[in-house]
Order: sequence, then structure tokens, then C-alpha cells
Amino acid sequence: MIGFNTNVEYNTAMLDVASGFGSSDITMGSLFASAGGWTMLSYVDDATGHIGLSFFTTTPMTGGTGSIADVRFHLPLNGSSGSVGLDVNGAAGSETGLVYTYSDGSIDIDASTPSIVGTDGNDSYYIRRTAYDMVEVYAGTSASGTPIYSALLASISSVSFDTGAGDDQLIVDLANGTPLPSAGISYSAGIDNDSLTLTGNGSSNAAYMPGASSGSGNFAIGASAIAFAGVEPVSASGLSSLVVVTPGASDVIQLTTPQAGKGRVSGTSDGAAFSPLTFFACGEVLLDTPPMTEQPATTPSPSPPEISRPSSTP
Amino acid sequence: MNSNGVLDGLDASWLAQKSLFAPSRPEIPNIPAGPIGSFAGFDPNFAMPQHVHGSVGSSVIVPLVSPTALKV
Repeated sequence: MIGFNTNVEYNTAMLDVASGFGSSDITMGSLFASAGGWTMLSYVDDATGHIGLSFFTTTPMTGGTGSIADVRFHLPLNGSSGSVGLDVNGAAGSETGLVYTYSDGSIDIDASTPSIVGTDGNDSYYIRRTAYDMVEVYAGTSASGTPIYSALLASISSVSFDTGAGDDQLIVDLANGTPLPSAGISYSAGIDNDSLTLTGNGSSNAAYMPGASSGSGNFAIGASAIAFAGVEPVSASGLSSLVVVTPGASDVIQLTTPQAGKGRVSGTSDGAAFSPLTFFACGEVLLDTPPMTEQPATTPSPSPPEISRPSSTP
Repeated sequence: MNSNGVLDGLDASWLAQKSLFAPSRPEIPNIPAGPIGSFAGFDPNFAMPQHVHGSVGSSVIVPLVSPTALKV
């Protein structure tokens, strides 16, 4: 039988690992998993930043290089940028004269690209800009309680939401101006019925640009955009101007009124259905489709909102 | 190990705990320093990569690797 112990020490102020024996954040690496015969035991004390790993086997291994264990480190949402060391250590040698050496690692934390990760349940997030040019993200559908994330808008370049499974929603509030950083917002909504809601203050302009694949696209606001995937209903309100730009060369567009005062644009572009857009309280709504191929609404509602076609793409 | 006169699953659990966090099982004396058994061939090296990039709020998986060929 052969075995050895290795430890990893980390900074608990900047990293988290699930504590306890058999931590869920530690798995056997591909080298030992593929070789077979190895047993790995792990113990994590996240209070002190200690990971203890013990490996043993009774089966000969022909040799190889690669991962013997994979450790998932969680980076707190309100952490700061910087490099944090991973101190790999253990015994210096064996009784047979072999010398053990250890090489430390590091994680470079980027606070300018915060990532909000949801659950497999129903997640709701609300993002806004404050009067002091801060970006705030709340868990929920309004700015109530304590934000789960906040930062100066100028200090970040992007924000991503990965909400996983469940019926998720993202609400982007433009009341105090756009909260979109220069590289925009990424919204990966996952499976199930997920929504994107844009609420303006009456002065913002936006362009809804569904992508070629169903549920994906961009919502451009100023010089930035919300890139989304896996989103089914999209809604926008309180905009000065809203432009719908279809991606394909051949569109079938339907304009309906789901309820009084609201309009909906739905249909297909090059045969692919795009996420329907519901809008209300918008100064104007422009439909930008390819010339010569657009078709009239096939099932118009009794009183669809007024739609006009722009003279040019914004 | 647990003084019940037989070798059972509880003994194995205690031993596993001892191997990972020695103070957790004071009933078991510490083993001498140094790994048990031995690798054949090259001196082992265990390493983690440097400059793994991660964004706040996310998680990153960092492998503990053997950059030299392990052989037992």
C-alpha cells in the first residue's frame, strides 16, 4: 500500500471552500480517477483556510502526469481584485529517500467582472443605477432590503447573471440612467421559463435585437447592451424610443395586444421563433425588418399599438 | 481502535478522520512524520497552477497536479 498527504492553505478573506470531511468542493482528479484503485479523503476547515488531502492505493500505477484532485474555490461577490496565493505543502520526503516538492498556485481575482450565480430554483434579480453612479443588484424584484452587490459603475466593465434552472427573472431599471457597464450585462437564464424586463424613465432609447437562435439576443441601451440567452418573455416600458430589429432575411411578424395599453411583437425570423416582446408606455415603437420580405401580421388583434417603421437603423 | 474488540466501520471512519485532521481523533497516536510507502522513480512534485483567473461571485476549479510522472 502506498499513500501520501498533501495540504493546501488559502486566504479565507478572499476564497471559500465548503467545510468538512468529504467536502463537496473537492473531487478526485483525472489522473487518479482514470488510473483506478485510488482512494481520496479530504478535510476542509474554511475557518482557517486549510485543506487536507489524503490519498492511498494498493494497486500499482504505471505512471502519468495530471490532476490528482480538483478543488473548487468560491470567490465572494463583494471581493476585491488581486492575486491570492494557494500554499501547497506536505512532508519533505519519504523513508525511502525520495524528496517531495511542492509548488504553490494562485488565483487572480477580477472584481471588474462580477458574476451573480443563481440556483436551480426560481431566481429574481433587480439591477439599477443609483443617483451616485453606483450599480446595485438586489435579490428580488425591487430595490428593497440590502443589495447583494454594489460597486461604482465606472469600476466595473461587465456584470453577468447565470441563473441556472427554474423560472428566473432579471429586471433592469433605467430610472436613474443606465446601469449597464461598458461591456454590458450577460444574462444566461438557463432552462425553464425565464424573463427579462426593462423599465425606463421615459427618456431612454433601446433596441431589441433577437438572435438567430430562439431565446437569445441583445437589448441595446446607449452604447452598451444586455446579451441574453434562454429568455422567453421580454418586456420593456418607459422608453422614449424602442426599436425591434429582426436578425434574419425573412420575417413573419405578429403584432397583438395582450391587454389594454400593451403591445406585443412576436413571430419568426428566417423560420426561427424569437422571444416575444411586450411593451407599454413607450414614446414610439419602430419595427426594423429587412426590406422586401416583411409580411403583414397574420392575426392582428383588434387594436394593436401603433407601430411605425424607422427610416434607418439606430 | 474504538476499544470494542473488533475491527469495524467505526474504526475505519476514525482512521480516516485522523489522517485528515489529527486533533479530531486524540484516541489514535500520531504517526511519524513523512509519507507512508513510496513512489517509484522520480521524486514526486505536487503543484497548483498560478494566475488562475476568476471573477468575483463565481467559482473556479483549481487542479492539484503532478507535473512529474507518478509511478507506484
